Amino acid sequence: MPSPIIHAQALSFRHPEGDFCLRVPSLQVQPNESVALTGPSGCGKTTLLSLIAGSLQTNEGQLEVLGQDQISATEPQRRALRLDRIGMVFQEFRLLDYLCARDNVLLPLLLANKSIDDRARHKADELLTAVGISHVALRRPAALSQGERQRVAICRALLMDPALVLADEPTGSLDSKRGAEVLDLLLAVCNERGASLVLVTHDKSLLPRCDRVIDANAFSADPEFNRPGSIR
Amino acid sequence: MKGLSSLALRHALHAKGRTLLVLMALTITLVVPLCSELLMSRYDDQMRERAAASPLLAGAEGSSFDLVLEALFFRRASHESIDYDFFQELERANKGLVIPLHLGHSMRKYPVLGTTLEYYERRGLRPALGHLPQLTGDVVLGSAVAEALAASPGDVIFSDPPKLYDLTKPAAMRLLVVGILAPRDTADDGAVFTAVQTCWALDGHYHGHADAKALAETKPEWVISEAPGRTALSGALIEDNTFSAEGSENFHLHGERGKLPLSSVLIFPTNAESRTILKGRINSHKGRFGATQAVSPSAVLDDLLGIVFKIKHLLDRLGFLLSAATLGLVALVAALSLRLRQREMQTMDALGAPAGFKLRLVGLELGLIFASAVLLATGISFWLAHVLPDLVTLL
Repeated sequence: MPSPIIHAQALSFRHPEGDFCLRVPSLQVQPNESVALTGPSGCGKTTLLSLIAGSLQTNEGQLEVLGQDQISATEPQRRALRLDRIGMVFQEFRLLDYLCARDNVLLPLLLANKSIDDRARHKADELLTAVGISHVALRRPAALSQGERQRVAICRALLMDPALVLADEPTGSLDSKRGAEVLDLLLAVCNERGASLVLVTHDKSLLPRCDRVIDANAFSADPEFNRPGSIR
Repeated sequence: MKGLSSLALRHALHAKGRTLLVLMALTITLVVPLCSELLMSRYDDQMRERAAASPLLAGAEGSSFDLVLEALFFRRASHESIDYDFFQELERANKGLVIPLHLGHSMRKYPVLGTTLEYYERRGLRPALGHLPQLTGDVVLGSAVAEALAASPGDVIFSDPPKLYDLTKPAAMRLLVVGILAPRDTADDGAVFTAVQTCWALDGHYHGHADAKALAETKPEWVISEAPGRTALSGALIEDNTFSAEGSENFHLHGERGKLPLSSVLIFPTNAESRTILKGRINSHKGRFGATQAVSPSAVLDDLLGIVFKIKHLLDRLGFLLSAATLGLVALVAALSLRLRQREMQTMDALGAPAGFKLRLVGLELGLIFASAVLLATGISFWLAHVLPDLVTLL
């Protein structure tokens, strides 16, 4: 059996500015698996995603992501892993308004301070074609619809051929029809490229589309949330 | 282009208003000291070089600054003239080469210098086209004048009338361009050169008209009074305004040649002793030529430039304050920019941008704007230094 993409054991995190505490007894995500993290607001879904991405760090428990121990990794190592091997998709798309759609897709390369050559442009165009918005490649975000913006964000997450995509409520800004379309698309492209997907969502109608659903209530140390989680 | 510089450039181009504001503020801050430095160094060199090539200058007593600036840089000055006799006496002293200078007239606003052939030799002026003035009414043009007027040898150009509405003053004279001087990058490039006699004709001391006795017979209504050997004609007589070969015989002088005016005399003493003797003799001269003075142009310009440089130092200090204020503005803009771009920076962090990327990005963007401002300021300063009027005309 291949080694898991994410392996967490007895992981806990206490927010320095509050009494919130996240406890993850055990979590494993396998290659090419799609996992939905669900639960009410404030139960720690985004915090867990940030720990996996390395934006937050804790020193309690074990957390291994793509073979890197995120507990002992330095800040530059965690940033490098995030940039090179993890794709990120956000609820508010977070596109840079002064770059066109294609350059937004190429942003991870720009952040890695690499030159943009024809090969990179071709790859960005391929991704835009794959999500059906190649015709807006040269438009800036202000000229795109919400759905188009999220597709651009998905392309940006996939540019570096990541083994893991972390999506924090990627359909939160879209209506249910567009949300379902975007999620189907995200699942399809992740599946096609062999990337695992960890998806945070409130939308219960989207859950059946994922391989597995984890109720994040189980991760909260808050007694109100501290009920056993359900794993399907 | 690498990712960082590409992002910096794109954001700078996107935030046009902010970029232009910072660019203009930096450019103005840089142009002021750069331009004053360029102008000063250029004029300092030019002025000192020319002064050093003019060992001694004699003229009427008065402002030595005016005397030097007029004789060396053709700046209009209102000081007394000296008599031609004074020049002749200096020549007779045989203590060096003495060159008469007559200034005060202009041709299409360019100063006209009446002098002798020795002037061209001493200043290293050679005709690039045509030849040096040989006859009264001939002029040679400095290279800048020729270029500005698009003139060439053979052209005829009128002098500027000294007083347009004063009928007692001579009218404009037709001057024949016989040569164009090669450029020397000195004040000579912006002047018109002719013989001293031509300048006296422009003054009205020399003038040409038909024989008065013959006119008295053909135009008796023009005769105001007649006495043995003297016929006075009315103002209806129009004097010649052309120095033609035929008409030149008509040009004559009423009065003593020795009393004709000169602006100053340029002296190249044979040696230090001659220089001391001449200087002492001229400065103590209170006799029949009136009060005169002999000055060393280098010493006079040192005094003058000393004052100018004190003003420049003051301007430099003001420029320093301006720079400090501008840097404050740039820092404020950078801080506000970082605040406005907080969301963008968070996105970069979330995507895994290396630590320090954001600061480098903003720094590089400001660096690009600063580099553009330096280029722009350098270009503007060189352009201003080229188009601004000659400093000596402003002094």
